[in-house]
Amino acid sequence: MLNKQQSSKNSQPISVKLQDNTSYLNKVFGSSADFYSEPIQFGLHQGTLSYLTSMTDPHAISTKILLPLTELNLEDIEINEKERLDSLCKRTFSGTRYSIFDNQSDVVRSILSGGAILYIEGASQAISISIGLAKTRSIEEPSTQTIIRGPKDGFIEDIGINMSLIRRRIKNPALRFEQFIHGTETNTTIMLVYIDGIVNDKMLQELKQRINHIDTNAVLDSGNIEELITDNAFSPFPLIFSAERPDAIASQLVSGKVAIMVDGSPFVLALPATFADFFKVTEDYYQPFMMSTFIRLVRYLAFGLALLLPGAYVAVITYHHEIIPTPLLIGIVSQREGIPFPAVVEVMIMEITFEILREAGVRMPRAVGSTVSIVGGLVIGQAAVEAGIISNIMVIIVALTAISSFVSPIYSFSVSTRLLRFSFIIIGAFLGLYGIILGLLALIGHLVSLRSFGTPYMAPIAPLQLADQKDTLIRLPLWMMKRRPSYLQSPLPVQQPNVEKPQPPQGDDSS
Amino acid sequence: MKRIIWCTGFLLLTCSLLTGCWDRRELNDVGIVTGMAIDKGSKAKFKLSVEALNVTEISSNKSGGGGGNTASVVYSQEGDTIAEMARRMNTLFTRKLIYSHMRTVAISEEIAREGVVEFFDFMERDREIRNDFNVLVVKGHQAADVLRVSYPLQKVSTMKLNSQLNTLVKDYGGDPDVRLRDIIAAWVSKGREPVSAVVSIVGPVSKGNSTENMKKITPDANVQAVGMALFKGLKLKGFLPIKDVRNFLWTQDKLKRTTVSVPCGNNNRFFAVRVYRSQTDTKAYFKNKQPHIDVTIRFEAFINVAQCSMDPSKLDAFQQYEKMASKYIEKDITQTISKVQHDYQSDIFGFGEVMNRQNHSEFKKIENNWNNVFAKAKITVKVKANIRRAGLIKNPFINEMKKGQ
Repeated sequence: MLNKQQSSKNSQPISVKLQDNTSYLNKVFGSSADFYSEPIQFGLHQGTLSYLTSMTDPHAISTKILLPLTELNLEDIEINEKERLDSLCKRTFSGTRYSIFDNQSDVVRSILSGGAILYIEGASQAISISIGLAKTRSIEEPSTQTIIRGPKDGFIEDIGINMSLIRRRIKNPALRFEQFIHGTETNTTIMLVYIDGIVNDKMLQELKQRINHIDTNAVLDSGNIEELITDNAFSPFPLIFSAERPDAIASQLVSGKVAIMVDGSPFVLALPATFADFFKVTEDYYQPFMMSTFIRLVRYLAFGLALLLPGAYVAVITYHHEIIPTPLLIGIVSQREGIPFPAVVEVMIMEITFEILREAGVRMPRAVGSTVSIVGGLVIGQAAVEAGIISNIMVIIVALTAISSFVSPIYSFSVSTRLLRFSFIIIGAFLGLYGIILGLLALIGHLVSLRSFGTPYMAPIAPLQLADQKDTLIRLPLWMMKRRPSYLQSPLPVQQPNVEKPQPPQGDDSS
Repeated sequence: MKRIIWCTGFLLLTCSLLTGCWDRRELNDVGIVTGMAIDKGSKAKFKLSVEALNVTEISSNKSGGGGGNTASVVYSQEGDTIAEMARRMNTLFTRKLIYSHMRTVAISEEIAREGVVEFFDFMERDREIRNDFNVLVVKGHQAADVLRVSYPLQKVSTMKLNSQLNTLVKDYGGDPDVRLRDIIAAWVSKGREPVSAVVSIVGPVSKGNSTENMKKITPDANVQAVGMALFKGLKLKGFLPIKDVRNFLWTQDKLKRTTVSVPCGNNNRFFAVRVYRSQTDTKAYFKNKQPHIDVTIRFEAFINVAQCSMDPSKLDAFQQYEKMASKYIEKDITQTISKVQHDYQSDIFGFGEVMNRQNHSEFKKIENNWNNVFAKAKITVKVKANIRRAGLIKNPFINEMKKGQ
């Protein structure tokens, strides 16, 4: 499962001489300060233990390797064959993950991913004992996808812990983790996660092929992978779902999707993704369905507002005075009295100011964070109105747009509305509502042309699947959802065949 | 090949920008016209008066000003077509006037009597002007004077008129509720003549023409709805009072709500019914070569005032109330119709249209002479009152008072 290309390129066999092996490793790692190689003796045997101090837990090395070795009675064991090594490992390292390697490149990789290597004089193999670094960030509530009701844990940067978070939720032997390693310089572990028998096989093959085709030097976050395997790199819309929440990923897995984990990133990808996925929150399924339906419709409305409100405002204000009700028109005109800018310039000033504020708010050191809210309130608030450069209604428009753009549960999706909003402002200023409609047509044309790993992006709205409408714009009760989404083409389309509406026993009046 | 397609597509896209902005108008550069008045000119054919808003004065946003100035500006000029004058108004106004929010057009009695109303063609034809504004005839004054009477609660006179007439028709039925499109539809129809609302000015116009008028409890001058104008062809023929307007609406099945006072007998006592639902069916047919028109009105109402001696908690008294109301309203509507028949020979009720629908071939023979036929038609009005409730109390307190008091 390791990167075959690399292992075949420089596969140097392990020497029987201890000296050769240690000098090889010293050459590979140079004089790196965290590379450590110590000679040890156990019984009659000489050995060398090599590891990276930055990747291993010193306490684990002494308790899991050194202590068992010294306690062992090894006199009767002749160590030079693989079987012997095997029996040594069985007796010594049982309970710890170990493997036996024949060539040096595997050894190097094992060291890089936190293993300790034990060379033994006279043996042409090396034992690798996995000693993970225990020091990781503890599991916390996700910072980008917060919910009120539901599990509060979030993925962290360590892939092993992330895997366990998924496995703990899906206790199913068919849950598969498939490992890939990418990045010629970073050698990052990438995990493909799916449930065998539920996931569509053709899609899975396609995905594996795309992952195998990745040829990059560095993978630092799942965002890198997303960009390298996406269907359409020139779309503002994300074609791959990303989540920081294990329950979100677990629910995608059981519906028949595939997740991709990248070591070092708390964002786990899930695909194929549809437009509607970006309006769903796992909390929708944890609270009453009526509330979820309402909130979900609010999210769609907010998406529309965030996308169109400033553009439509500019279009109406500069071209279509007749469609505004007279009292409202009077209100708007009286506020715009004395504003020196055309409406489109006013909108642009405010939107760009807001974008600057938002960026500043994200990047600013925490300590000076509160400055943003104080200064920001002045720039896009009442002060701007009183200075006579911005109208009151514009502040309302920009504020509503800004709030609406935060409603989207997935951050990468709200970015698309941020970008497209500006094109709608410009086209609205040039062509009025006609332009807005034109832009919307182009946008819809683009959306329906998108595909995410074979699934139409607008599914199940276009192409329309009536059965899937139970969980698209609205959310019906769980006991009505007997089937998985049909657009995922799962080989096991029925997910809960016997689910029934709960009700008290009938025909019993004894109470 | 692909490059050519891209290039052509790009060029086509840029073409769309070439048209851009030709009708762009910033909101701070426009003046909103809420109404206009048309009089006969002294030097040219028409005199057009336009009321444009002074928005800062109306809106509640106090930071914009609001120093007790007038809420609108009215200027007049003379010319031969309304269309030309409407675009020449900047000889007097600073801003480009937009007419899309126009609610009211007042025309003088003089113009209406002479029938020089061809300017309605412009108002229908122009793409900016809506055809759903109120058309009023101003009785006894210059039409422009209507624009010059201020009112404290709704400072813009034409908007005040618009909401005044709309409320009047909803609550009492005192306005014929016609828009420009209705008038034009009546003109082109062979079986109907148009009507329009009529307003008049109470008090001296010179005092209405300033904010001082708004500072009094009873403003010196005000615009009053006085009924409806009745046309025959293009020309105004006469006026009908408010009460006839209600009866007119009743025959049109357009009455929403009204209150009718019905005399109890000859003792100068009345009871009143509040009509809240009504339905009118009209049948038109020929019998012995004479046109017959049967108007059947059924309405639901409740008793709003009961000064009569009958106790509304008794069933037979209730039925008596119903009978009296039916009979009274029947008589009233018949009177209105026969007044129009005999005094004006103008079918404002659209009975000709009903005849056309129900007896098309017969109507075809006389359609060009319909108004005269209408004048001789036998029109029967039948009213069925359904009084459903008697309000919060049953027996009137007058009945319950001790005898001898």
